[in-house]
Amino acid sequence: MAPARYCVPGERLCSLEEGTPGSGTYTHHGFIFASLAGCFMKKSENGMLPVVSVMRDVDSQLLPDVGATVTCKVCSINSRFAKVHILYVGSTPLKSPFRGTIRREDIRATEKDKVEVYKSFRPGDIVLAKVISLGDVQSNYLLTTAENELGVVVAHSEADVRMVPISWCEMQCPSTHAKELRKVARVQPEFLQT
Amino acid sequence: MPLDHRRVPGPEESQSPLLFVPSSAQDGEAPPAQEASRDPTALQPLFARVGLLSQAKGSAYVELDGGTKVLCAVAGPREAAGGGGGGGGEPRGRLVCEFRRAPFSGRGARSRPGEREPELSLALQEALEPAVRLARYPRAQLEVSALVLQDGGSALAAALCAAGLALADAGVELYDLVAACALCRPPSGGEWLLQPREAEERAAAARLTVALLPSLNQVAGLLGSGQGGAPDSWAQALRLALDGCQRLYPLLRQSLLRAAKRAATAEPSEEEDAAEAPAATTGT
Amino acid sequence: MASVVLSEAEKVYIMHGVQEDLRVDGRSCEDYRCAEVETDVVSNTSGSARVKLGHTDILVGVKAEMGTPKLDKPNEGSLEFFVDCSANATPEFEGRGGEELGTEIANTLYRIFNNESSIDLKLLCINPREHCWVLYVDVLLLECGGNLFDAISLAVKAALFNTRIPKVRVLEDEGGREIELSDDPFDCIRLNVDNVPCIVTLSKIGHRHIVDATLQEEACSLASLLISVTSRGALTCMKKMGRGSLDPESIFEMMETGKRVGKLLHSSLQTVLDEEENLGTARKKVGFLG
Repeated sequence: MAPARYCVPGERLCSLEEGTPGSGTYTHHGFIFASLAGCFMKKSENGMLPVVSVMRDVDSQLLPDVGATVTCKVCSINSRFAKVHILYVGSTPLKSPFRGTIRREDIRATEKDKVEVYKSFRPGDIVLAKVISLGDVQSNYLLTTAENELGVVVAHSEADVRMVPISWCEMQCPSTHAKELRKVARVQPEFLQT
Repeated sequence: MPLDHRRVPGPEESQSPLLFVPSSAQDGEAPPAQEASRDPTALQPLFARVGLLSQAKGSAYVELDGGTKVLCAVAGPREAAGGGGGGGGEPRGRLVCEFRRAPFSGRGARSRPGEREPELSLALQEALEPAVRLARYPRAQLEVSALVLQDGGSALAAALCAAGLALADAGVELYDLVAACALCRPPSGGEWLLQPREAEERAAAARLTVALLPSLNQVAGLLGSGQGGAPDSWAQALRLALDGCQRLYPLLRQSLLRAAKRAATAEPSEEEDAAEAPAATTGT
Repeated sequence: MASVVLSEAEKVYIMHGVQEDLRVDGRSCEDYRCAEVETDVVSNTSGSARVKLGHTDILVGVKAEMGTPKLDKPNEGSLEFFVDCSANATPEFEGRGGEELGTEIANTLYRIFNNESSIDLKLLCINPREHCWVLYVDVLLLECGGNLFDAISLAVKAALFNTRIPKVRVLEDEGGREIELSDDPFDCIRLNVDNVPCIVTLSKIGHRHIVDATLQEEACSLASLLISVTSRGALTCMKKMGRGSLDPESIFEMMETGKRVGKLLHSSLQTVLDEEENLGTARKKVGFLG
């Protein structure tokens, strides 16, 4: 195997005819340039133009992007929305949390007008959500949980015991058997590995 | 008897002793012969090291032969404080730059610690903004802080080089690296000198710092002032600086590549890199 | 800074106009807007001037106060600049909002005056090492309509031209010195402003550059070059502003344009100032009602 080629930002990698720009690159005047310092990769898939990308060994920090699934922690709720801290983007942890908002109408996909925030989330819950907008100058990230796979994944009861989901809108405390209302996520099997 | 430490036990009115030095003696301090003999296009040997701070996302250290030592660290991207994004609707990231001098960095009396230099901080920010792909960092801010440990001339240029390297080391998406050169024109007139040392810079009639995006050949930053000269003279200085930056580029690139390889070949003994020869240019 | 929000279509319209050398208000790329200059508008100052350049409105007052010379320059007076961004100009300047812009402008002014030829500071010395005149130049932004730097430098130059510093004499008597003010109120020092530079800001729009950009044009420009030019065409300061980069060839062109435009600017300002001066007391003051 040939030794890996390393490049620095601003280095011209190849022309646009020879490849398609992948991550860590940008195009300018018909050429692909590196935008990261790292290892140059060229991957060819079934006769298509090879994808040119620059990889860093350490994952450069992701930012929550529209459409990304994020893991967040609820920090406060009121009747109109829940405020959360985004902790993970996909499976990458963020160095510092970003603030997000889940509005009441974005909690469930059906019967939006009957949804009540305090019957869906409680402060301290760990929630899977999807970014729907980066927000404007005043507001922060807007998130939604209006999918079966999204919603509360971890919640603690008043007895401070981790609750078990029993239906799509209820969780139960294993020690006191008290039921609490939540917007429960049907966690996909691929996330269940421990 | 208790002593009041805050009171200076000196006369109420005092003046700098330098005022009473005969002017001829003052001139002798900077040997003019040495200045004249210097090749105006010579760069000072430069030492660059990337990724030496472990806590920062990215960092770089640049040292010039004249004694200038600059340490630069990059933090973020983190959530922007206040309303994120610039005007014009599109949510772009923000670059926050800070240029500080250590209290003992300069010649003479100690400066007040922690004093920001708003003008140079702004110059740093305006020169780095064209290099960073801020559109990739919506609603976030990147923080760059440059600290001058010792000022031996051309400090802003060294800080710009270090900041460019630190950003690349942090894995921030960039359009290009940043190479920067300082210049000054001696009071006697005549040719511009590239990468002046402290004595040359202090005596200079005009100073200029130029930052270049070397592979795109775009001038990212320009800051200079001094005794009026015809535009031709400034244009000549700019050409000299562009040439200097291009000569500096392979060196910056090399030190960054070394850091990238070191990171890729994983963790085997950290001592190894200490033995490596520092990246340095000679003056030619 | 005060900014306007433009849509893509508006930007394209402005850019195409600049490309054809015909700007939105009918000017060509190297034309300034119509400027109004009036000196001696505020009576409690040693010199003052008001410059209105399009919708940009600047008031500058110069006050001469007695101070001590700086340690490293014992026989020179000094100039101090303060820029106040009042909330009149734009609500963004409310409170501390304008502070950053204010220091940026003040630093730029220090930079363009930071050379021996701009103004003869030795003239301001009264008594080496002990007394000198310190000129406090206070800049007030009344309205921001683009191209602040150029308008401010014009106003500063006009105000310095208008500045009259009372003549004083140093009397030596046994044991100490005394400073005596001249009895004649018209007996005063005037400053020579021939070498005071003016700022010309060239904004890059598309492939061309323009002078005296309006707010709308500033919103279209990613990078601009600020240069200060003396009446003889010498450059005393150069600075890139904005978040874009410039290619070297265009910088050379901009420097030439800046020199050409700057010389013209100086000569027209000087003509206006001289004309106003010659009117003497017969001049009808316009002030803020005009």
